[in-house]
Amino acid sequence: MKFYYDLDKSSKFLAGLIGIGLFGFLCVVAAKLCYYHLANHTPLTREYSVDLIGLRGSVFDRNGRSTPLAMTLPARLVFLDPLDPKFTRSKKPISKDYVARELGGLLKMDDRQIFNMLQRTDSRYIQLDVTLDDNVISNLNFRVSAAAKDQQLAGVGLKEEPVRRYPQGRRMAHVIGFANKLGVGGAGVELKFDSMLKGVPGKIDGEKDARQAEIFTKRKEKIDPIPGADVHLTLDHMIQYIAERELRATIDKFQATGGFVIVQKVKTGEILAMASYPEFDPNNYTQETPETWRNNALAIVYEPGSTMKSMIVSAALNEGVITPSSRFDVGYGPWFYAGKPLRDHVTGVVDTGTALKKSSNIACAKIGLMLGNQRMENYLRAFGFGSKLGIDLPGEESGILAKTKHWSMLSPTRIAIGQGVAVTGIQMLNAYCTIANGGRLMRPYVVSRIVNSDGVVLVQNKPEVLGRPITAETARKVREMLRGVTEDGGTATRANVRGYTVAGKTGTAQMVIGGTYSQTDYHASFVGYLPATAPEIGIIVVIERPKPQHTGGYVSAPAFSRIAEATANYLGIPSDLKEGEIE
Amino acid sequence: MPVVGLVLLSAFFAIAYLVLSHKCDQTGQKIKKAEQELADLEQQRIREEANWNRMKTPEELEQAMLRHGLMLNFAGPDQVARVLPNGRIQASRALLATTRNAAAGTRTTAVGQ
Repeated sequence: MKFYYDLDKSSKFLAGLIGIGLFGFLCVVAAKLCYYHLANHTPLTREYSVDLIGLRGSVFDRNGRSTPLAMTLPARLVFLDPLDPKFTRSKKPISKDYVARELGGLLKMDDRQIFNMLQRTDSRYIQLDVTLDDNVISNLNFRVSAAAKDQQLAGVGLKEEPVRRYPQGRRMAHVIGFANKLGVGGAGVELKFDSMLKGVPGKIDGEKDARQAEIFTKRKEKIDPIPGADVHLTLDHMIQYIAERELRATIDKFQATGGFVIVQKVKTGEILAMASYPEFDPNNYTQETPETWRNNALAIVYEPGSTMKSMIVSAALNEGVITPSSRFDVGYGPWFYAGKPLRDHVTGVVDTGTALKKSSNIACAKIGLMLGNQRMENYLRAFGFGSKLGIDLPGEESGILAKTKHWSMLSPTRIAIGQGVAVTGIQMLNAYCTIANGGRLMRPYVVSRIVNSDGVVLVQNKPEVLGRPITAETARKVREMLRGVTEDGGTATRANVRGYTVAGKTGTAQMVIGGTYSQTDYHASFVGYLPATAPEIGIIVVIERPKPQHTGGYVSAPAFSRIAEATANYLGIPSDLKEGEIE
Repeated sequence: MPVVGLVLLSAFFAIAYLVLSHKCDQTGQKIKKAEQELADLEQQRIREEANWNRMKTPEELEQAMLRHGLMLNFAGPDQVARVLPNGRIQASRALLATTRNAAAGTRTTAVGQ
């Protein structure tokens, strides 16, 4: 201040002017700072908005979270930016050759290929690879940052990329299905329950700094993502493994072209295993042909052959048209009806039980005639044939069962032996489980429950009785007769299981090719349940075009036996053979 | 003189505000970093769980058992003895025979044979 008072008048004026100007300038700066700091506005360049991915729900088998069959994994997409300024900066530029070599080593890729990509000038975002390796991810995260110093990589970025993975590979592929890269279900459970499996994305809204990083204190809103619901199946991965192993082995042994196996709980309708061949790997479903995606247990129809005889016998017994001791003369040669011959490998006079045990065509055709067209159709529909059972999987076929008005004179004799009618595997197994279950037809299902991320059960499936085609007493009579099929003299002695009684029926059906029955191509099947005295599980094995043997008793029955034995032991099903007691 | 005091007071408040604001930003950065670390760890856990589940498939377990010279199977009904509610034990004839022989001190055969 003394300095000011020592100045002359003009100098004082000038100094005052400068002071006022400086003060004014500082006021403006302070006002501007206050405005930017305190006023509630954000220039567009500072807006920060990022979507948070809601992961797709997982699929588990009946053992719960210990066995995930489908899960979404948070992978990292590695991408290249060939125009990154770090390649051309004047101080310590990073060479593309170095980046290509380092990336090639980390990602186990050809570094020449990476180098060629880095030469491109048409894009700043070239997708390179998706990695799930934690070591690679943490290594890359470090090396793209400035902290890596001499080891820093240029032109490389990492982006969160959820990938759908199926840890068990081909197992249960036809039931689980697959989801595509966009997270949309394309087959199986992934398709059927797509809307529940989908996650809900979250969001962060706020502001970012000059380095594009979010300023946490300026965050306006964070909406957490909601993961999709989890689907718990009724299938057991161990029983599925057993079924798939035996199916593959049988197909290999008999050079067959396809087949399927289903294992079902008799009392509830739950599916424990569903295997179909040919197989595919849902982790690489685009590498396989769409034919392999088809679930043969539901989506193909085939003429069942002799396995249909049990339904006709059940219907006739239920109506009182025949009894277990009714006798039928099958003769010693072809039987002519409506001008067409029907051949049989059984001769003489047989009772109902023997007709099933030895699978007599003529006896069952005569039973069909005694039952009558309309009752036969009604019973077959009551057993679930000719329409969908309503299993909770896409692609179920109805089968083919014409109305009686379309039947010829010959039809009842042929439908009775499983010709002129087409069924799905799940329909046939379900019908036999109906006999095993005291006449109650259950709805088959593969999904036990669906649970959201909060633990709330959204869907809980329970056993459902679809109908009662036959009485409990009729079912008991048929079960006794079906036991004979696996005893000496029956067509399926190879279906026996050590430690258990088994009941079931073989089927050897000519395939229809070009409108006529083939003399070389067959469907060989065996469908049955155990223990016969107190049924717990039902199993069907169908093999397509086995060679050189083609009968159900030779091809499918042994596979049934191995699957049934392993499954019964795994489940700890008590033996129903007479046992002793000790104190 | 009062003006100078006012200016000095304003400057003090401004500086204090800047310091506190800076501390808030630093805390926010730490929270953001911790948030990111939590998300990264959760993702690592999910990937690790997937690796573990891949190792537990039946094929992998069979291979692992073979490598250790083991060949295991589920017990058949003739290898299982059940304890009934009345305290008696229900078992197959083979198992009974083995047990009785063992009790009598005679040489036993393997169960199920």
